[in-house]
Amino acid sequence: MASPSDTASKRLVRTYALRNNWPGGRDLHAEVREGLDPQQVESAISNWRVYWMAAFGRPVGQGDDFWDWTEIIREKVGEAGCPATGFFADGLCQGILIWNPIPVESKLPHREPRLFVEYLAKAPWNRMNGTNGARSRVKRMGPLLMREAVRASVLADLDGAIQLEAEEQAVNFYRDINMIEVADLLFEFDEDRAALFLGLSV
Amino acid sequence: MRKLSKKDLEHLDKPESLDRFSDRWKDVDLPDFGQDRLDRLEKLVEKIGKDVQKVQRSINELDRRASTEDSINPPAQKPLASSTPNFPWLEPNATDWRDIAAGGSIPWDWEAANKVFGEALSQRALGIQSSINSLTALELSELQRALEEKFGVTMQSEPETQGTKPPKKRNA
Repeated sequence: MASPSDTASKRLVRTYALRNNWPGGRDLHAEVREGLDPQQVESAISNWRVYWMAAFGRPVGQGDDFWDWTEIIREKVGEAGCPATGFFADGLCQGILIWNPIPVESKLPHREPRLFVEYLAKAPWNRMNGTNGARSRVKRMGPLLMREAVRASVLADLDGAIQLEAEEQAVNFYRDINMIEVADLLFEFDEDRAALFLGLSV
Repeated sequence: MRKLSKKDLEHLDKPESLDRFSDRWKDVDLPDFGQDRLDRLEKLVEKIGKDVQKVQRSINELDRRASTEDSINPPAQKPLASSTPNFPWLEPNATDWRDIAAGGSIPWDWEAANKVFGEALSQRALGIQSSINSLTALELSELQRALEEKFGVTMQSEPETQGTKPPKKRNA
């Protein structure tokens, strides 16, 4: 089985045209960059910090996100070698995905291996309700990040299967995309549901 | 059952595939965690800030009345605590300090009153503390900043520990 980190190290780059949801805004040409190193993830988050400071007068991590990004970058991307993939447009990171290079067992009876998604996060300006009541700039970053997670699973010979631990407020999102709730706050895509999620016939 | 293959991924890279995908999930996205969290902290700041203001107003009012009382009855002539009438609004579990401040009679034994006020303050502080204890380190830092900005209240910080509360859930 190919390790996800092996595939990530190739740093494949794809481009997408993303619809800009802001009034009069031009569409964004996004690049998907894989295999971001800790410095690149830190750089991506630093843009979020700048935005949050401008919008609310406080840095990210003190009002924006639920997580301590400094710790995540150090522990997960740095020490554990978790691959990180980012969507970049206009020189800014629009969303980020971090997964674990070591597959986990499914909680379903067959206990097949799953790619474990560590973190999914979108930039503060891409939030559904936006900041300060503004509309999010790029909608659907959540599904796009999940799409990348399924891709990473396929590249790791895990057939698109995924497992993740959901934040309580995000449970509806994972239910909406038809993930299987295998335990409290624990969700999985099996191969079939992953294919359906991507819009591919099973 | 057909398994997803790497060939399927080539299909995913086509623009029409992305369009179809986006249309299919157009009404679905991750929630706005940041705003939820800000709203929650905002409410906590309001609650604690108002509590602290109430206490401050009560203390000011007590000081004002004390100085008035002292000018009429010098402290040495005041009755002892044992003869102080029962003031239920001075019980340690008193909750509304505006009521205390506007409560009419002021007890004669200022030492006893201060003790009771001190206990009541402790009770109120315990309530505030239990709210604060549920916060993450980052939230606590945000709370300190907001309290100082909005109410001029400075919280005494505990020594900071490294990575105090790791993220409990992972996917947003």
